[in-house]
Amino acid sequence: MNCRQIRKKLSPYIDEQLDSRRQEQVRDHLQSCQNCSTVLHQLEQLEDLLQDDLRLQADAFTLTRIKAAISAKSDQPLPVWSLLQKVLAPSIVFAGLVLGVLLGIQLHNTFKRTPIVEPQTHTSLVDSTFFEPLPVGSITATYVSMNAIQK
Amino acid sequence: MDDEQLVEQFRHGQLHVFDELVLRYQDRVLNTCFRLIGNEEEARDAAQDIFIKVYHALASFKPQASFSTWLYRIAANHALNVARSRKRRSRIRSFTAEIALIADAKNPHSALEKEERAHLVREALNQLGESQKTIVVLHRFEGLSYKEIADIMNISVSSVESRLFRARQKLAKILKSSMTEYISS
Repeated sequence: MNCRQIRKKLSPYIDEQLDSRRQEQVRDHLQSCQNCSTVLHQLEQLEDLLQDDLRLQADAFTLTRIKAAISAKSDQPLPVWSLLQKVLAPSIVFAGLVLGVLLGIQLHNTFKRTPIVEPQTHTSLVDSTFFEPLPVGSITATYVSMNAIQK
Repeated sequence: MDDEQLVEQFRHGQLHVFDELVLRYQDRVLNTCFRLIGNEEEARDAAQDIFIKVYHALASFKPQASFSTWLYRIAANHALNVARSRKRRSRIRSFTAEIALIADAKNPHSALEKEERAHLVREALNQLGESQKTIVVLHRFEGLSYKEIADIMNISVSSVESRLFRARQKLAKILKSSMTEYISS
């Protein structure tokens, strides 16, 4: 194997993930190649640096918190129902609004088509013009005067 | 009783066996989250969310892979999502974990060095790409084999080898320069 191939195998070599034959091949190469040995040395130094890194521990109440969260989630309404609620409520309101507008338009058109009969208003039983002097030479004046002559 | 037997019991309605699965994996999930997110508090929240997710998904879990592979896959994906949104929010990092180390120190000098070193390692890890970081965390800190990592990440074993090698080289380079800076300052 050449240096390029060996370097690809340095990680599994450090981690002892190679089979014994490969492990030996890499070891032999490293003994004769200064450059690859330097790369290996860098990787080993890195391993030392990573060695002391902190490891956290779950606290004693982790399980309790998880179980509480699970049961709280189970008490919630089903996602399908909550989705329906989210979608249904605004849909119903919207449908109501549309229905109202359509009904209004329909009613408006109905009243528009029916002829509106003006109510006749009889504000007075006697025509006010009756007591006014009749215009001279008019048909009404002639009629009234003829009647008066006959009487 | 192994994981698969516990999962089988859970799927047959014995929900209490979930407690055993949590107790078995809580530290591993927490530390995976901690390395990938870089913040202790958020890692604890993420670990809790992961187990809640697992509880609800366990009934539909098809044992094509082992339970641990499946769990690590969920954990890594969730933690990377949290890390991404954390990066977006670009919050200042919490040093709770490091501070805890100082607090319990019988030898303050050694603890301070450890704390600084831990901080530098985490900073260096955060400079890796998501895939390289996940491989380093799962292998170096969780002790998973190349094959297990390949299964979790849906990649080949040789991809794991080459990505891990590149990640190690990059980490060594970053840490070398940051250590030099730290020592000279």
